[in-house]
Amino acid sequence: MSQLVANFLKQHLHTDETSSVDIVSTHMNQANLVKDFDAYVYKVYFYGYVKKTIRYSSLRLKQRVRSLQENEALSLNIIDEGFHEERINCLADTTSDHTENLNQFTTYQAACNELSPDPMISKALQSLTDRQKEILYRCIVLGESDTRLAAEKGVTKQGINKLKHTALNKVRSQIVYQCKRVV
Amino acid sequence: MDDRGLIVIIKQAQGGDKIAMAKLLEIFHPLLYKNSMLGGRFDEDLYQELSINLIHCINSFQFVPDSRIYQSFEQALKLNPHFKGEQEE
Repeated sequence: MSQLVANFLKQHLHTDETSSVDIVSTHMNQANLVKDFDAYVYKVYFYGYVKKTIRYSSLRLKQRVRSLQENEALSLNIIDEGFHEERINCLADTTSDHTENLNQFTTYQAACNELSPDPMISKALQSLTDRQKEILYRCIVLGESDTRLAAEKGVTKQGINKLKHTALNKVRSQIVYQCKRVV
Repeated sequence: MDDRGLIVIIKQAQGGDKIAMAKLLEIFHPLLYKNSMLGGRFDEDLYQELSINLIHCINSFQFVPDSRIYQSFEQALKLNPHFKGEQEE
């Protein structure tokens, strides 16, 4: 309350000082000043009311737009005249080539088999499953992150880590086993 | 525009004066524009919705001041040296 009064007085005294007009002559009497104050309070109330209303309605509308975007997909389907079922219309996806992905998938295993010239290590690597080979190759040789692989494979980051460790342990035990056989 | 002029315009707008309402919409244009940004872009639909809201807001505005404001104002006048002389007269 007092802040409102202080701001009003400050504003009025300031304008009066700059225009170097005597305060008594500008505010002919106290009643005039009270009217000015009335108008000032009215303005402050009105601005506050409008500002709050616009701000909150804007937030509410934006939230509604966002929820619409999240929950509803744009549809290209059309309903032909005299036919009640809708015709499915699709856009061709030209961005990804699945045959390329397939080739890439087979190269992970092939590349993993040809990692080492040492026949012992190569044999140990061959004993792994395709999935383990791919994860080992991509994590260790290509240096891809666990998080990215996890998102791609649809498992958790910990799941990828576990697979990696199982594969490495398997390779180690295979190598130890073959060494023992040689000795 | 001074405070008293604003009150006149608001009252005219509430009475159905379209020119006064247009003036108020112009005054609040920056506020509406600021609140119509959606994802870093100006959204025309949002601006329109907010303009409609502003019109409702102006029509429904009722001035009910707190009586404590006027008490506080009177106290301030008593304490202020500029107005002391005026009151004594």
